[in-house]
Amino acid sequence: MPPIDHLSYSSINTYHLCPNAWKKRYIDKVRTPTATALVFGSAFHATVEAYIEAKATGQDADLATLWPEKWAAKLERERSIDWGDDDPDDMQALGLRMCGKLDVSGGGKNRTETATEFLGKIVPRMNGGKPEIERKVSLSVPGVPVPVIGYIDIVTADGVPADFKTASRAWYANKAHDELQPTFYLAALAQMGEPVPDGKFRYYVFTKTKSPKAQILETERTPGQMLWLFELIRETWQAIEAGVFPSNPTGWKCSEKYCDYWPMCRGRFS
Amino acid sequence: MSKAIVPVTSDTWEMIQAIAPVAATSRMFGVTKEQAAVVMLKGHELGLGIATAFEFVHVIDSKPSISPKGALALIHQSGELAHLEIHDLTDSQGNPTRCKVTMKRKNGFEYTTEYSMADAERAGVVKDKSGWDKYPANMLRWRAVGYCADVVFPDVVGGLYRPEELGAEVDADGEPVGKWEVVESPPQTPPEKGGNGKGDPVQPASKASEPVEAKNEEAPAAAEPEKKVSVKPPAKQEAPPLEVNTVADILAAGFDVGAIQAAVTALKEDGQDVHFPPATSEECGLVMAKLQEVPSATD
Repeated sequence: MPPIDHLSYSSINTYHLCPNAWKKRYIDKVRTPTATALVFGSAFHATVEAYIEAKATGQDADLATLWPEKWAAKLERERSIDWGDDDPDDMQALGLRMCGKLDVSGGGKNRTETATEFLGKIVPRMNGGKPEIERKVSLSVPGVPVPVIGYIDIVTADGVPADFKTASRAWYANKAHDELQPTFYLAALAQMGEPVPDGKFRYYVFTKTKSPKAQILETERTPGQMLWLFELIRETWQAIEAGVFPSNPTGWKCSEKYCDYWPMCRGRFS
Repeated sequence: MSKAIVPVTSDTWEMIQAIAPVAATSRMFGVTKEQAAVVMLKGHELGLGIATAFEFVHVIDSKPSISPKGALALIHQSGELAHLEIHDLTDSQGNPTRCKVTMKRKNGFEYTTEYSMADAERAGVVKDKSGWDKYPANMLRWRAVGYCADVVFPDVVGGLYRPEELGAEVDADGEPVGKWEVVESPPQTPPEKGGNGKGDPVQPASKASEPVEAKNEEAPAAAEPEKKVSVKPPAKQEAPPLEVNTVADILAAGFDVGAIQAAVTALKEDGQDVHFPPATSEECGLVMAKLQEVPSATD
């Protein structure tokens, strides 16, 4: 097995969705075309972060200009994209729509705001004159010889870490509480000597619906949940070390539509 | 973990093709670019690094082979080795006479092989100023290791021959030397119990089929004192042991999350650089020590 010098939140998540997919991605290094949703999410993510960073550092920024730039840059950088039923022009138009009016829920009464107004209220914490955007964190887990790394999208001025998501539909109320990601980021920050008051974490979710929405969802994690995460990571590492890579046919991702490795796995038998 | 052949992806193959001409023109490895590609390809399949492959995989007479040292590296890496014993035996003057190697797999399969100077002389490989003349103990050891690995871990060494089996002259570490000219064949003793199916001389010594510890062995001759080298298989990663001093150990000892937090706070007040959640096994050990030192912290 090639040496593994680190794990990430994303790789641990992948392992739990399907250990066999994890092996194909991180050990066999099988390259697959990038799904449209990932390309879109990444470009929109970059747009939002660039806008917030520009505003925080006193620069002019315009979402309607930033989005096409980031979208084009992303398309150029990707070696191969699996467009499926999606059309690049439709996707670009969708992004532009999401830079316009948004139906906002969370953080007060439901309301309609422009994306500029909405993002204008998301202020990053400044650290040494720089906004804390794409903040790298590293978690050490006793018994696991490699660090677990991740990047927090933003740490806001009130000290709460947050993540930007794009989704095809609005998140249900408890989804933020079910996610593993906040536990990881909060544990890493606590271990780095920056515990977040009340263990708070925030999600900003942008939905790619006909009438785009934005949700602000807050969640909290306890110290006990952070220690449970240690156990989860340690068990995961032990399984990787032991070469345990079974397929997970009951996971949501085990389908032709969602799994990049379908043709070389379950799809071979269909 | 059972050693699995690592599949070759198109990226790996591209990289091998790019490196092979460099490896050939550098003349550091004495291979053509085609041989360099084969060495890297075989090494990759066995889980070796691209550069490390040149240390352990050799092309002899157009066939890839693996040195005993490489075989042992793969065995350690596989995590399947439960126990390894190497006994260097000498005569009354301290001259190496034979080497006995015992390997045991985690599934319980165990086998012992011996290789003696008499076997080497019979094979005609003992020559003046050769490795057998200068470093007989090393030569015996790697030969015995190679034969034992063939029997106990054929799946791990990928069925590869060793350089000397393909006729190469080898140095004290079992690595091929010179231009790998074909020398006389190795001994052709028929395989006995546990043979590797390749007709390899796995049992050149008459008593070798008894997988017994040297300390229990009846000494074949009073003039053969033995130097026992007991080797414990190394951990697969240079890392703290998985089962020692983790948060799980602290919880299993009956302490709860609040107690761990309180112990970390107390340690910080003592001037210790400890995190919550603990960042290392050492920190877990400090927390555990603090908890035992101040039982009230668990209340």
